[in-house]
Amino acid sequence: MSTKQRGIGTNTYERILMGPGAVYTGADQASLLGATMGGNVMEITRTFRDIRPDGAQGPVKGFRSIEEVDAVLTVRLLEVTEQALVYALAGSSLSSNVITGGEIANSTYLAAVSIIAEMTGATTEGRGSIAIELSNVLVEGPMTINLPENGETAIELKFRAHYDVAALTTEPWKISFTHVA
Amino acid sequence: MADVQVSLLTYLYNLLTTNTALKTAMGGAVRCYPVSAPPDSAFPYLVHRIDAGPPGGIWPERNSTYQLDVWSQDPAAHDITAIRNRLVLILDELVFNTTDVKNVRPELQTDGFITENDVRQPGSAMNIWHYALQFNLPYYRQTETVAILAR
Repeated sequence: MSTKQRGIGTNTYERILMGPGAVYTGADQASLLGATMGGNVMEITRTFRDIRPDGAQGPVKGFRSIEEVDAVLTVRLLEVTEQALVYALAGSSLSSNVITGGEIANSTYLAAVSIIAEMTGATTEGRGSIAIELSNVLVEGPMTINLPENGETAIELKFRAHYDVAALTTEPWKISFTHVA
Repeated sequence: MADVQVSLLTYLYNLLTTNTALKTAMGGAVRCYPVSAPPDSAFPYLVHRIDAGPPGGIWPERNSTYQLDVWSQDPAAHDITAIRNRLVLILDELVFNTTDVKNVRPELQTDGFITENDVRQPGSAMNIWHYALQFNLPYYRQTETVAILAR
């Protein structure tokens, strides 16, 4: 067999992630957030403590442990709704089409935010997917609306997951496959 | 194992010629020819072809173009625009697989009337209209890839 395979196998076509994905809020992907532009980015950063006993010349097996977990979904939202802006300004509230600021309460946290990314070719005319869900989510960072001289604008939202105080060892994210070949 | 072109055009031919709404728009039957139509073909009819483009992200992927031409004879081009509408609704943003080709995704890029240099002038006494649609057609050539890996 040739050595020019570059990792491609007979089932590669079924295992390719495609497109920007769709973002949902709520448990079980209850509500579609809206159209995005410029793609979405999911980052789960797991920082490991690196204990170096005397004599170690590099990382040592058994001496690593999780120090911090940070899961962030960055979305560039093209479709602007009142509800999305309430999410963007954590703690704010909406009344009679007017959004005003407020403190962050437990009810401010979104129970879940998910991105569903399409996985190709699982079945004829079917689409597999990967769902990445964050738990106890707040949007952090400034809400910036750039209004260009011409053309449309996208608002960037950074959804950050949070541990549940009642489950401090359960990382606030999960990844679910469907249609895996 | 069928050739990629044969596999794609066969699928698209079957898709178009069995679509009930398209049949209605085309007067009861969908006539669809590869590359060019036979002389004196009855109107309306379709002509389709695929121009394979360069590889996509990895070598089994290709970025190709699906060219679909509609020819119709009617006084005011109503029929041809109805056919165009049905074709877009059938094909645009579709995802399909065949035995030999996977992850095929037609995406409409351009479409419009074509002015012919011969007697088939739009709006002429012959009332013959030509409408061209061009789709991007990325796909993954599956059976070719398996055969290449095994050689």
